[in-house]
Amino acid sequence: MFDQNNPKDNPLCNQVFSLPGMIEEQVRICFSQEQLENILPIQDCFDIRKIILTGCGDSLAAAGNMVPVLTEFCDVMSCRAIDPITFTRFMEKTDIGIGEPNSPLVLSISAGGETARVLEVLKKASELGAFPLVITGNPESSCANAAKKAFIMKTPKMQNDFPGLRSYLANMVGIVAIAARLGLVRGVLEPETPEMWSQSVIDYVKSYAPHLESISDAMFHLAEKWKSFTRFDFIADCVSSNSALFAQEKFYEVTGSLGCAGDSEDFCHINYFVRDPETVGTVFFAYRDQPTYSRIKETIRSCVTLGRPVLVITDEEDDFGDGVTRVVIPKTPEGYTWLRPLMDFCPVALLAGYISELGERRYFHSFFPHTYERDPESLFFAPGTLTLKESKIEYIL
Amino acid sequence: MIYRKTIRTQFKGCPSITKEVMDCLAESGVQNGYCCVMIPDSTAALAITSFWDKRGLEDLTDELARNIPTRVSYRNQTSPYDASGHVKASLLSSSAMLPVKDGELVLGSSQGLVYMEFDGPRTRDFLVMINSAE
Repeated sequence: MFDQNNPKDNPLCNQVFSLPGMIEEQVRICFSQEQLENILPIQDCFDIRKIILTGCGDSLAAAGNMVPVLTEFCDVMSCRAIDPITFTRFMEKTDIGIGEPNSPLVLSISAGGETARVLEVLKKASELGAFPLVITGNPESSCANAAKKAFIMKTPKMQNDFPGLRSYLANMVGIVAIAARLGLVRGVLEPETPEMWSQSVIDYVKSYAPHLESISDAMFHLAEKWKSFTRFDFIADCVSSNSALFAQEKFYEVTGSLGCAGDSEDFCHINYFVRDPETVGTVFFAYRDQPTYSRIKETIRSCVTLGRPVLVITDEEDDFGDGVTRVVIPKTPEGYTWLRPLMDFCPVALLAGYISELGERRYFHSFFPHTYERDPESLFFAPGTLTLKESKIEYIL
Repeated sequence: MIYRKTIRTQFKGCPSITKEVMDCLAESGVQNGYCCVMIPDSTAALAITSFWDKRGLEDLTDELARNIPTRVSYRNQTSPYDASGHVKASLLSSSAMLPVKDGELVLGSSQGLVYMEFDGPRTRDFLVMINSAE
């Protein structure tokens, strides 16, 4: 149970601090040769011509973050992340594949394995003769049973790991392991690369350990200023838009705030004009190696000028000017920028947890974070109202 | 004396290691005896073949590939290259014992020692053991 008098003792904070300690075990599980050979035999690896990733909520963010790894290293014709409802209700057979066996690989993520929309994806993929593969923590779940193969995460258990940051990281590591497997079998990656990747994942996640205390302090101080805010913008470009999406989702879940994730250009056209800018927490992910870095910096300056409170998450020591709270995260090794999203959500996860604590908000508008007890008056989890698992299963072939 | 040498192989590369072995022999100072060369990997092998015409080596690798192709249906599921490499390596040899006479390896005039990489690129070791018979 949590110390109710210590706002830093909360589920999100504790999970963030646990990540460097869990990563070695998680990598060992995900890169298990036995499990990878079982879910992706050589024949199946060569059948795959395209990859479609799906998942709901932060699972889709995890999937989107890892698209570049699969695209670059797996020698497939295309790879994209698609929301489940698009896959099941709007995509036709010819949009998905041209009928080759076991293709496309439909890689779906459902930590609990009972998400209705993901179940639909797996059933439709199966009926079309594609290759439905689910990443899940539950081998007995509906999704695991509906998929051709289930990649079981076996994320090391931790008390009170909800909402899940550890499972989010685990899902991304799982996709990296799949990319390593496909790349090795298809002759793109060298035989020693999977081992190098697994070690680089461990090293990068652990590189956060010496910095977490200072990042946490900075986020706590910011939360003291932002604790009354109910509106947030999360701005990022390229693959980092998935980290922004994840941040938005966590803010909804644990602070009940309105959030919007978008790219720097769209922000300048739309969100920029919101009223009372001084009450909108504005979070940027700014990385020099991304082609839009200059646009991000312009947008930061505009927001400061408008009076927006600004947080910048970056791996640069660049000066973003007065009025900006900057958090510097560890740099990725050369050639390994794909490691960044494994951990760049940590500052915003800490911030969300602290705002929830200091603002006396409830997780999912229902749970008291220190006890995990549900407010009996809350309608949010009432049967028939929350429909994530009970939703009607439906898909169009 | 035992020497451990390290090389960086290319994908299915076949580098000559004759000079490295001869260097070990010179360093040992052994004049008469024997030299054992051993490759402690299961997807690589040691061949003694002609170095004059590289097409002979290509014929060897082509024939191996023709008979043991990199197909998908091996029971070993690590990768097609790894699986076929295991079979190729087993059918060739992982070591050779060579006489040493007057401080020289006894090899035919066109013979050389070739490291046969069936997977790669990898960092590989091979062992050279030299014993004096005097």
